[in-house]
Amino acid sequence: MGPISVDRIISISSEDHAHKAENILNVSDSHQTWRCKSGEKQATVILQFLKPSVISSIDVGNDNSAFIEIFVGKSTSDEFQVLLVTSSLMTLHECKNGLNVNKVRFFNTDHLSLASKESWDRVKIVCTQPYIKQSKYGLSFVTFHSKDVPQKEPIQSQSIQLGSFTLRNDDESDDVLSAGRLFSKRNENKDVVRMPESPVNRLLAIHKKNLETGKHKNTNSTNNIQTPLMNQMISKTPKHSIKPKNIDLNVKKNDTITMAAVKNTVKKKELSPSSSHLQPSRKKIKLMKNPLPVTKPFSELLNNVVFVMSGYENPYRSNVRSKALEMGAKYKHNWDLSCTHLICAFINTPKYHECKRQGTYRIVKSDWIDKCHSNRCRFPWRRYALDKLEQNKPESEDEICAHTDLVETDDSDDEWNSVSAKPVPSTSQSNSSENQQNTITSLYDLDTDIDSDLDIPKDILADESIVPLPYIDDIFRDRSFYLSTSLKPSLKQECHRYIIALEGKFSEKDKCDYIVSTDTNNLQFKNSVTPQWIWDCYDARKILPLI
Amino acid sequence: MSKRKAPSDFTNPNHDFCEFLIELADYEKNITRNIYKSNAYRKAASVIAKHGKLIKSGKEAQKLDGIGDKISKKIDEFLETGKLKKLDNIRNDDASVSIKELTRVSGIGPAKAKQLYDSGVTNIDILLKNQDKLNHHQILGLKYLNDFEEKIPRNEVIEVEQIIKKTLHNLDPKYKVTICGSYRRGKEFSGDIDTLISHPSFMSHGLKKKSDKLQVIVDILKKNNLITETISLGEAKFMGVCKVNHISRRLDIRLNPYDQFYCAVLYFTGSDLFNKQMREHALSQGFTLNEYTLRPMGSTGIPGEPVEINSEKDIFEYIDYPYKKPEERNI
Repeated sequence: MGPISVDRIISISSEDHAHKAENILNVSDSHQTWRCKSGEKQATVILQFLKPSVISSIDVGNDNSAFIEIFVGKSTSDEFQVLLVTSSLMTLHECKNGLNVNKVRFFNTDHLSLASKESWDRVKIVCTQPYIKQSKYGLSFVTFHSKDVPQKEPIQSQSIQLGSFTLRNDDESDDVLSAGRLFSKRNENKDVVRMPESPVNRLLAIHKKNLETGKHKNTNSTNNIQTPLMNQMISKTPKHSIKPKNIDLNVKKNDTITMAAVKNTVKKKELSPSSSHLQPSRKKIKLMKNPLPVTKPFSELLNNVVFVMSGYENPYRSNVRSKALEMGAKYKHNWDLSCTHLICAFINTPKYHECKRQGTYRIVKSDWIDKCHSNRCRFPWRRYALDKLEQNKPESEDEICAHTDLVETDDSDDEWNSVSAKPVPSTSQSNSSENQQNTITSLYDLDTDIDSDLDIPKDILADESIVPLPYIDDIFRDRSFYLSTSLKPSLKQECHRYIIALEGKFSEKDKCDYIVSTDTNNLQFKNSVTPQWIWDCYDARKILPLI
Repeated sequence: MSKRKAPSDFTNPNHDFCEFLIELADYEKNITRNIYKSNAYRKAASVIAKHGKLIKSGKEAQKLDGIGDKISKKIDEFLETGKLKKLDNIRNDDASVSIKELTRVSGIGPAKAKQLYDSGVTNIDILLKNQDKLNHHQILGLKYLNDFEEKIPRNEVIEVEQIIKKTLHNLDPKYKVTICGSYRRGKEFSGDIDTLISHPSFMSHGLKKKSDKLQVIVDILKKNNLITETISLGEAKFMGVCKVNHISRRLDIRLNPYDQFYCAVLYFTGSDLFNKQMREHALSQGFTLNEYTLRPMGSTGIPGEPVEINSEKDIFEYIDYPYKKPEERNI
């Protein structure tokens, strides 16, 4: 059982200047409290959890409220259900005499409604004080506890054994298998200096650094809402469970699929343990932990985002728009092919339907912009997807932090620098032995390894329950391609992935529809295309005429 | 609700109006089974009884709260002719007369009376020969029919109260005893004796385990020759008959959890019309009140956790209702 980390405060009915709402997330200092403005009939606050969690108990520190009522909801809908029915925090006698205004009450499962059996990611707290007129009242803190350990320590249940080490298997690595990630990466790569890193890792890194320096100072100014809680949570986590989280893979610029490689090999190993004897020589891949997070200037965070808004009214609409523009996104009045995201308040708006018709799936709530802006960090849009379905899919992008909130972590814990892994030649695809060759050589030769889809068994690619893929146009359906040997391996990999993602096939040089090449000799063939043409086709969502 | 409620006595100038309104109320309750019409007549009777001055016209009466067009016309009709056509019809209707007579018996309600009437039992005499149609409660009700119809003078209730208090005090000084009903509202006569008892060790959240407290109490009161008959006895409620002088009386004893005691005292003190008003006020203040608890209503209308109540006054304060002494609750 541990506290559920609260991501942020979504809304409050009001707050006093001296008693801000964020104080309720700060358990350690009971003098900092949240109070509403004077004369409010009720004071409400809505919190967003980092992850959907099952709430098993609640601790509430009061500040002058007579009653508290707690609801739970999901970010996918506006409906709330009662979790804790209206309960007294002060008796009438205490209200009238101003006694015990800071009582603490613990509510356990017996106090909570049946809603406590499900997992939720939003809570709404309603406080009332009908007995002290014109009073300012609220709470000093509120903590939610969850029983389910996997919610907070996914490694323990979903970990993969990698040699003698446990490799974390979270959304981050699942991600890599989704095609959207690769595509979204293409533009970002130009600015990428650092390896993507999950928020948990970053916070863990902060925490670890804090421990080392002996200062529990919050180094990440923009995350000051979540960090104290995270730190607290982490400090209760046993050491051994932190360590595996710190495994990360060092990947050089433009190399976005290293994690996929490791993951794939790991999966492979799990799936076919008998194949391990085929690889008697264990090669070690040099892995560096705690790579630095991806960063961009704040004004370029949403550089490749072209968005349209739907369903929001002014002044909120313009507020969201200006935030997005500040972060480098482009705004379009109406939807066209160049648009990438629809910021949409609710489903069934005309624009929503238009996007759906065109196969656009990046439909997000304004929270995304708000959150990115306030945290100076580009969060994966899927977290804020309007559609519940989309939200459940793995995130296809990584967080990108603005330059200002860099967290330097140069941890050199040797124990974690090497992870044994065995590249296993794929037997599932036989048509591209060159690719396999490339893969293996790169794995053996370099600390940057380049993997291909060939390593992924077909059943994994096909099984959407394991890796739900985002929707991608099948513009290359029934087209066959030949990748010229003259292509650079890295480029070849990328082409390969694009073609597969767009439902294209591969065939011999003389039977194919298109020859992909950069070589001028090859370009003499009338059906030859450049990799750039593939990117263009992808962007245009149709097959473009040959040049 | 006791069958022998009477908002008016003979000294009241408007006694006649009250009588016929009560008769109409009983008719609506027992025969047409329309509790809303019945309550409307009872409310009107109560308002007229409290008026204090003789009502000279329907128009005059209509100014009072709870008397509308129809009842004012009935008052006019009564003033002009000295009787009511509707009431005469009712009195001449065999079914109405029979059902009215049968419902005099404690334990026989309108439904049972209708059933008996349909099976050919049209009066008390026939009923006496057909006791196989009755349950234990109804047999006792029939047995003590005349006794139970006698009003209980205040002094006798005080006597019973003292016996019960003394008995319980000997058992455990922490017992709380309150006799509610019209007695607590200061009336000179009561229909039955409604006793509420509680003990600090008896809380609502410990209700799961069986308690034989009430059984013990009843046994002792039987030994003391107060309780003469038992109609029913459960863990929380005793219904029976007691006798201190020569007339048998209906006695109810309820054992309430300590945390619900004052809500129960408020509820069983009544009057029922006062309770209705108070519950309405509670709702307007965002609370829901019943005989067990006072609970705040959540922002979506879901009742919350019961608030802590340590006196009857607390309930009034929580819902911001001016405190009324029991004697002021005779609506």
